[in-house]
Amino acid sequence: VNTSDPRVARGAAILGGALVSVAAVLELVQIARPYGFPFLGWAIATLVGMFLLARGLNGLRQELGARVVAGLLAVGILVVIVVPFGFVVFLGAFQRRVDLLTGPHVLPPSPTTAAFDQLMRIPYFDAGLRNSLLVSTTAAIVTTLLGLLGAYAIARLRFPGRSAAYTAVMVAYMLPGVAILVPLVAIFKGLGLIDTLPGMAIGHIALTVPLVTWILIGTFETVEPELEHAARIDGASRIQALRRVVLPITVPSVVTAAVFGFVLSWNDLLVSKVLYVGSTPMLAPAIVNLMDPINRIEPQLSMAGLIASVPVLTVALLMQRYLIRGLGEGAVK
Amino acid sequence: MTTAVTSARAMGNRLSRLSIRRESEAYAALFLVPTAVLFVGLVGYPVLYSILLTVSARGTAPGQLGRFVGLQNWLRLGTDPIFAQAVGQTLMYVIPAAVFGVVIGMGVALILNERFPGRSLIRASLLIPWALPPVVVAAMFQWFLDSRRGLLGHWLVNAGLVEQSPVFLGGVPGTLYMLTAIHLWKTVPLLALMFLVALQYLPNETMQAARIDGANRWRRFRYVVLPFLRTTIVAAVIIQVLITVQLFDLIFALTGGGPGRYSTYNVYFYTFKTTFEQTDFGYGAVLAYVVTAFVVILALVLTRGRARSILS
Repeated sequence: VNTSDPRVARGAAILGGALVSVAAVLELVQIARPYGFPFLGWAIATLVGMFLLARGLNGLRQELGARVVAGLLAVGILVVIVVPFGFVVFLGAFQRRVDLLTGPHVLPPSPTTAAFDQLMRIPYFDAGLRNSLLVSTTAAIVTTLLGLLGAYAIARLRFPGRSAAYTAVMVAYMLPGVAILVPLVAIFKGLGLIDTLPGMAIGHIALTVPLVTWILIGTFETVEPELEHAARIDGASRIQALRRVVLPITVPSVVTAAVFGFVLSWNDLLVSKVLYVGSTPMLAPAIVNLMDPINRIEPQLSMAGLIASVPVLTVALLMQRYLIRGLGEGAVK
Repeated sequence: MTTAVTSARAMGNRLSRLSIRRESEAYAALFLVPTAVLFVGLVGYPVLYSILLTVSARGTAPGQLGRFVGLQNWLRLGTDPIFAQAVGQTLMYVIPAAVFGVVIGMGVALILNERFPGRSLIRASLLIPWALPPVVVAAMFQWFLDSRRGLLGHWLVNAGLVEQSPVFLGGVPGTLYMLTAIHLWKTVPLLALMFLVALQYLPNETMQAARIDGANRWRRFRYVVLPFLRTTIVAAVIIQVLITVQLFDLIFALTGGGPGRYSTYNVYFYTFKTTFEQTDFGYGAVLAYVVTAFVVILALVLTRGRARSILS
């Protein structure tokens, strides 16, 4: 296709766009209610259409085609991310149990919140939800306070053993959970902390401290030392300088670190499971219990998943800008 | 302003030469106490205690060491067929997860790096798989992939791709690869975000120059973008390997290590089973050391650069 002629370019773009959209509509109808449109037809029409669209638009304005194609592909990315969650967890949670017998439904035929009431009547789920809310919130707050002090010391103060402390944080952050759980359980048994709420909270603090400290070291590294020096000259103590000068300008990063701690704790299965013997259930192991291959009830599981997703998705949404940057710079786990 | 900063710096330097050092050490001690207590309890003591575990016979409960057995637990590694199988399967998880994860992650980042309306919405949606609890992801795909009640199989049949809904979770080694695919769904957005952040630092002038020189899209990618992303690619591979070696929740929640005999075990899962279900703390500690050694060495490689820049 020679797209240097604007008329040819416009024609190619319109033809390509029409091919892509018609094929998409046909394929969507086909997936909802099969009538014999071949999958291969959709695939070929989409590829050819995208090519024509890109070439045509690029001929009209530089880079325009690439942008439009990127936008279309991005819709594909969004579909892959949102469809499993939206259709299975969100819509699935409002299905009736009997509707499972009539095959998979995209939309719940008769939406109901029965699964919620049933779930709340399962003692370990109800208790697990309460415990997780309490433990993860506590862990996030305490961990951030401890992490603030530790990270500030490692990033800002000169003392012997500083580099050893830095390495210790890093190794602790990377240390696989299974490696330390047996001794941890032994210590907890000795202290009578096993399967208690305070014990669970301490376990989760231990789980989150390395990550949060690690993130905060990075944060404090970016603060100009001059700011603090100026405050110190004006007579502020170290703690005042930290509270009045360093913290105010690092609030977003500190809150982000706390959110990372909360998500890590909320999503944890291993520690919660190992520290649980029968009286202090947490949410993640409770959901695994519901996944029993014989007795599981899918809408109930989806409702449980929806409930478990609300806190983490809410903080992710509220803090998206900072989380994207934090994750992009390599804060994982 | 500049003079104020300069004089502040000068005074700061003088201060630091006089008394700040000693004072700094006192504060360091104060600030580090709570963390240090946790670290000794969390890292120091457990690591040392685990050494004792590795030379002890199967104990009766956590906290009670069995009798001394020397290196017997360590030697078991060489003759244990399940360990060998778990090592092989760990590679079956790690290699596709790293290769596809990095390639798809980079592709997603390149797409989302273009300017189009709604871009920030789609970038934000990348946080969904990351934020979701792994057990919720497991439960979600358990239903989505169910051959009778699941939507995916239903859709594939309707689209005319398959005759009847495939059994996604149940074959050997198909189940392992399905778990890897689910793991990719959860981790690719994270890798994409890493590449997206790196792409922000791509010098615009270089791209413009390449464009003016007539380099087409592929050549600009091959000779400008790809070399620029090299360090990010290495970091992304290492991070994905680190995450995948420690893949546990999905296996635990979705297959429990099956189907068949240990067909979805990785070394991490085998360690968990040995330690907490067979309560063989000695051999479990040996397995944990194997995982730990691998993870820590890889992590040190990853962070060596960063550690050096911070400590200097």
